[in-house]
Amino acid sequence: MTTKRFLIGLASSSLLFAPLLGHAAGCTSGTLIKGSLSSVYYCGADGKRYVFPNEKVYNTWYAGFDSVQTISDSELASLPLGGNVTYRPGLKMVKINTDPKVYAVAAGGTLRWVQTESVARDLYGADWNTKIDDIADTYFVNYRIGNPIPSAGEYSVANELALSTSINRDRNLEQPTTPPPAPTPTTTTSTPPAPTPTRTGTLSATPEEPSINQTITLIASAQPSTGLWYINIFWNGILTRHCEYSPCGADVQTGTGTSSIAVAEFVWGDQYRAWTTSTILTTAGSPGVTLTITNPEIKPDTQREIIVDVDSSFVANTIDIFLDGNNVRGCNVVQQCRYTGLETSPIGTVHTAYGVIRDANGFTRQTSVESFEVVSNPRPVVTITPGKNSMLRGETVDVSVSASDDDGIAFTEITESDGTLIKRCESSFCTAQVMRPTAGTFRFIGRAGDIPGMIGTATSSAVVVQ
Amino acid sequence: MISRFKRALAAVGTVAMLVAPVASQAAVTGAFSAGDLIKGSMDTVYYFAPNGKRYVFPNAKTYFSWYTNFDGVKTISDGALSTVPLGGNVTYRPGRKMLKITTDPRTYVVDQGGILRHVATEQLAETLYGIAWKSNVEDLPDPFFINYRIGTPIQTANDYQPANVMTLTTTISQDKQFDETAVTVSIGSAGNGYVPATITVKKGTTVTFTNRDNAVHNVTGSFGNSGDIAVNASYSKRFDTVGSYDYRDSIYPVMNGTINVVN
Repeated sequence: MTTKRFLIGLASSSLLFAPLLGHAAGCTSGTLIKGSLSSVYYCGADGKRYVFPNEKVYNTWYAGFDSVQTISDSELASLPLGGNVTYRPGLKMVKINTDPKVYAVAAGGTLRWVQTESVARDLYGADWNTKIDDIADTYFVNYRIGNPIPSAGEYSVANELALSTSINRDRNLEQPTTPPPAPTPTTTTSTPPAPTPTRTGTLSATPEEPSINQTITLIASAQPSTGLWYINIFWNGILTRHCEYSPCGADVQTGTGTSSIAVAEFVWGDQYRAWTTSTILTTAGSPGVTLTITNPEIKPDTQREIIVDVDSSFVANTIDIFLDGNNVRGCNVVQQCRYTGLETSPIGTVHTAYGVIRDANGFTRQTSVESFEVVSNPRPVVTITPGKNSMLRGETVDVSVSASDDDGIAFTEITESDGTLIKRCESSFCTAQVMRPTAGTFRFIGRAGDIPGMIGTATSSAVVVQ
Repeated sequence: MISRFKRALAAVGTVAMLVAPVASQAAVTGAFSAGDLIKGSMDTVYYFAPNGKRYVFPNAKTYFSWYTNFDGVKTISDGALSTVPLGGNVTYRPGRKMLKITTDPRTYVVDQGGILRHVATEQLAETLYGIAWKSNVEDLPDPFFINYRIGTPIQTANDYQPANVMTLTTTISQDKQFDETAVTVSIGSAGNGYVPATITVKKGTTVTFTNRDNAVHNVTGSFGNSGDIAVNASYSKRFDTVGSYDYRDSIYPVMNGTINVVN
């Protein structure tokens, strides 16, 4: 042990006298550099090198290590340490271990307290609490505390990205000789009409409504693409793709949350910048699992019912039903889980529900996200069924409609798809024999009215006539 | 190359979070004072400063430059810990060790206030710390460098005497030049109360109560009545007489505290 320390001491003593003269130049501002060890540093405009405390911080600024330049250890040592790099603003929320407050990161390493859950939801989606990175207490000193965020309007992701286009800019290290042109941040993918053409970018996702654990493709396109310098695509706060051409594509995974956020940053050669944000909701269901809400319109003080069904393609271990983001029912069964509860919310409330199904190996599937609304008078629930879905010209098909409603059904009707009445019955059940003389694909509409007068409709499946 | 980088970064990330091997059944107390070491239910140890903030030890070596063991660490509730805001990081005790940043060959001595002073020659290092000076050099990971400032280099042995420096700065409070005649008590939520709930101060100390909750509070005691203390506002009172003073919040009567004034 003593020998080891002596050797280490020797090594440091020889380095003590390494002549530090000769390399007065410093590093190129804005580049990433490293020596013979693997730590990567940012070369600041002040000639100092800045440390990345961990990979998560690095990933909010750079994708991969391709642009890192290696310099000699003595050159590296001649660059004084300037400090630690902080999270790029706008991308992630952060939390100090022993402080319950959740912060959004603003320009210059400023932490702004996200005051309520609804603000967090507005800024980062329904599963905002999965988009928080922990910062160790010891790095807290690298950040400043700024004004809290009382509402979503007080913080703009696009603005924060605009102010932090580089670590130099975020830390205010450089003095620009000419002020860069004011950016035009856009937060939707549509461009409002303007008298002079504004440069923008679009961001699309395919598929647009994925399920969980699905790979989707993000495509970011700059308009115009002439003069474009680069496009950055961020997925849930992490820089995923950097392209020096348009369009720029990135394949990303949706994970298990209910929403993900994609941000595309477009930079042209003359420093003009634009941003686009897209929230991708994992509303589509995984295969084999379905969520059914018995009453899509429900009266207050009646029973809600939500049922999750799992088919034989997936052997479930647990089924959990989430209502408005809260786990309201868990079942340790294989095929069906049922939640019932009294509807106590006021009229006008819209609830959302989805089910999460896990098997014994931890694989997860998620149903589509469905919603239901609390109303004073729910519409009648109507079903319309043709007796067959294909027939020949000249044949007839029986079309049946039935309706139900707590207030009682006054009438049911069968109409053509353009609304022309075929048959009306003064009861909750109606059947008509419909003849089709011509070929084509037809659908029928069932209508029903409850006694107080609410109308409900339904469209039948297609009938192909040949 | 990428995987090595990942491991290097991961190593840096986990160097922090000093772990105190205290018994898991440590009694939770509400009584602690400026200058005490505190921890919550997790093992991270903090220094509680007169300004009412807690300071982090970036790594075990920094802690052991000040203390030899964890015997004096007091365990407080997690709610109380979160009420005490973070103030910054502790730096090495001046004089005890020389420091070297991992990627910088220069060796430094530590002066009061977290100032690093470059030692120009090996002979000088030997004069200051003896023939075995090399075993008194500790490595400081790059990310903690920001906690220090660079001062004037040491040219001769007169510029810096380790024994003197160690005598001058024996506590973290002295190192950071806290005003010990003024201490701060944080006002937390009704559930967390005043933090520290019980504090001991010397005669002549001014106690400042700072509202760190997001509701209005007050301090009502035999020594005075603060009136409404708005969020982030403070109320100060100087205690000149020895004794024990109870106080409470008349808006949230469940909150109460005690100031013990000693000679």
